[in-house]
Amino acid sequence: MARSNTERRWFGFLVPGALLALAAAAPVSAQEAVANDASAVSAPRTDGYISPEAKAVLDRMQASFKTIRRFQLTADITRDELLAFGYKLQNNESAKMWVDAPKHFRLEVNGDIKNRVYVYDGSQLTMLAPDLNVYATTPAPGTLGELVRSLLDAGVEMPLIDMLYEGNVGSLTDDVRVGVLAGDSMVDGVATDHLAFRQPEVDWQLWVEKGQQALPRKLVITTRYAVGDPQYQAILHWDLAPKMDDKSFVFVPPSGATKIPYKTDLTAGGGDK
Amino acid sequence: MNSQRIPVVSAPRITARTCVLAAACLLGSLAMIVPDDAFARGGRGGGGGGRGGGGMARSSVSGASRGGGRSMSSGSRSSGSRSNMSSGSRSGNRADYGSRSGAGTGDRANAGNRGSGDTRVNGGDRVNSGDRINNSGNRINTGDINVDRGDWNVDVDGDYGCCGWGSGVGAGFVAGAVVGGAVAYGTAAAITYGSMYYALPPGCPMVHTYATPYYHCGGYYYQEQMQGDDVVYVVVQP
Repeated sequence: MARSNTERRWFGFLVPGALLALAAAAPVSAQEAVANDASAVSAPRTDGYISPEAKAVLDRMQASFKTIRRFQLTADITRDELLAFGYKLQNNESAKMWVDAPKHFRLEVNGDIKNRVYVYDGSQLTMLAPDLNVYATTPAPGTLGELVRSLLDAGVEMPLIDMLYEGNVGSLTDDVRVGVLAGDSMVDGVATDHLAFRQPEVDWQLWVEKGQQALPRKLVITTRYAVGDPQYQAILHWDLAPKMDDKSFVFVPPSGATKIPYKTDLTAGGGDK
Repeated sequence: MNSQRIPVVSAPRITARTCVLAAACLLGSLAMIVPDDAFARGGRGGGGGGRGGGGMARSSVSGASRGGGRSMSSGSRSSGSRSNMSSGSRSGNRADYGSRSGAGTGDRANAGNRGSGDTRVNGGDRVNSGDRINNSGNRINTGDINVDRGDWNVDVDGDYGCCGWGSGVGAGFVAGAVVGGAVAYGTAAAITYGSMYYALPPGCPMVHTYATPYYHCGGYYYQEQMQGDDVVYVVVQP
């Protein structure tokens, strides 16, 4: 589905204009942030601009997220890594997540950089590092939303955490300064709306399926202010009628696995013990 | 039917790819003066994917929002360190990784080791993306690699050993475990109790004295722990 010229022109016009606006707004907000540190944390930003077309897609997506409580999500992920002398190496990863909100999730990650299994059962979170055959279990908040918040506070950006964030914690667009609809696009043979966002640390793009089941099919995050602008890309596959039961969220240590202490406190809003 | 199983993956790929890349890089280094280990994935240091490497793309919009987009007042997390990590403050030190496989905690906080001393203990730098830009500048400077080789070796920088997904390093970490110069393993003054490393020094055997694993070498005991979602080695009292 090729994009029409109109769309391209519109996008080409809007984005530079919006970026100028952003450039003008950025110093102001930085000052605000310094001026009242505490309120900046709690108060959602309202100074971003999201075009009505993009907003409509986001609204559909948010409505869809609210309806899904049990699902399985698999993702094919690539991450760029900038090496010391300017070479951009791409790392592959595959992630598989089972969710039964708000009490359970399990995430299995196999990738070039690391392999992990995360299991959350509503009261504890266990993380297994299969390469070392060690795991750690820690008390966790009582709901998925709180857990995601704690993990982010602790600096854990596990794959697909954005998909848990949306719908359980808040909106991904909370910090967006500019958001526009880039046009139509096909992902895995599915018609999607292609959204483009800019926010202080990252630029990101989201491909949201058209129609009633408006779930994201693809996510691209570009890290700004980093040499080479490394990108993270995830192609998402949703299964809304997954096979899973209570055992899916019970962690069974592999044979010979060693339990090690867990250093981060997730229950007190993050930080170290 | 429980279709979920726990994959016990030894990740042979990592090893294989690492070898290939390291070999390629050895060749490359003859011509390009490239650090031998620059291509190596951090996982091989024993972190089991403790990762390592250059500027890694950020992987979470929500993380970026919470970490970098807003000014953070809480001390629980330092976006500064996270941002630094993800923006490649690590990369300069990859060269060290192989030889020392060490990651100095204190250093991790301060990408400034490489750049300027004044950014060193910069737990508060979260808002200050200037740091990151500085780092980038340093990174671009590949011409300096050779000249600065000495620096790199001194810079046992935790950054690169760390955190595949920009994870795991909170301000508490920064504040709580400052390894002064974090010069190198074996330099006694640099290692203090509570220091965290993302990899053990080479040839550090496990000691089966307690239930949880300890490693003992160079006169120090390291306890294997998990922080965020990374495996770390913490220097503990025997």
